[in-house]
Amino acid sequence: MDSFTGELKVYENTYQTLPLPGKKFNPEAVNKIIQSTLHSRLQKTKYSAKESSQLIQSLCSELQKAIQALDYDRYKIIVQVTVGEMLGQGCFFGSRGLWDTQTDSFATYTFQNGSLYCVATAFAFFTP
Amino acid sequence: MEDLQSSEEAAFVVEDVTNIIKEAIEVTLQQAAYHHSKVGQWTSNVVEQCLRRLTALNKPFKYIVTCIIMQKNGAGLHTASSCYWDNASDGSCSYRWENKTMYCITSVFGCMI
Repeated sequence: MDSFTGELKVYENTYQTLPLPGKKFNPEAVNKIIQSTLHSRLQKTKYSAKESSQLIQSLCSELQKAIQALDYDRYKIIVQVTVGEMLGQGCFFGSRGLWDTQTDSFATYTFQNGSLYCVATAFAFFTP
Repeated sequence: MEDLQSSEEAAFVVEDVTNIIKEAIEVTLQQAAYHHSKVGQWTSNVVEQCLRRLTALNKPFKYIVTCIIMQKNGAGLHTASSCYWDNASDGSCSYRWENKTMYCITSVFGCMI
């Protein structure tokens, strides 16, 4: 195991309890990203049991990278993607969060075509 | 020693949370048959019960609880999630339940403050 021989930088506390102005999680911007990603990836996709699990994993990481690119400092981001086959069954999605309403939020979008539907949600928690 | 104990108590314990989810679902959906007019109520009940019990654990965590109730029809469903957080303190767990007429998949994500 290599030992660290360089200089260890110690950072002082920033005492930041709220996100900086302009750096607060913006649900509308993230909604647009989710919408465009789902439309571009799924427009012509048919539901397939074998390929769906890989598809949603790659969708998850793509959405996560796109949200990271917006550079929301000190935010923990959770992206959840669900894909289901359209066979006329009933389905209901619900979620609740226990968070700080001033700083935390979520963005969601539902996409459907003839053979599948996809719900993608991104939750963001600020860590002071 | 006190610091070690407090960090263990404040960690996300997957077993405890899985039990909480399991009990919330069983209380709400036991012996129920899928009905489109009741699904909304059921989902709200499951999620709110989970949150109430998670709050009662008194840990310094922010939680998200999501619940999917789907009618049994032979249709396929896949769920995935990707989390950008601190692996040492944060965690998630998921529980799948079914009866003759429906599936219920509930996930809890917890992030330490």
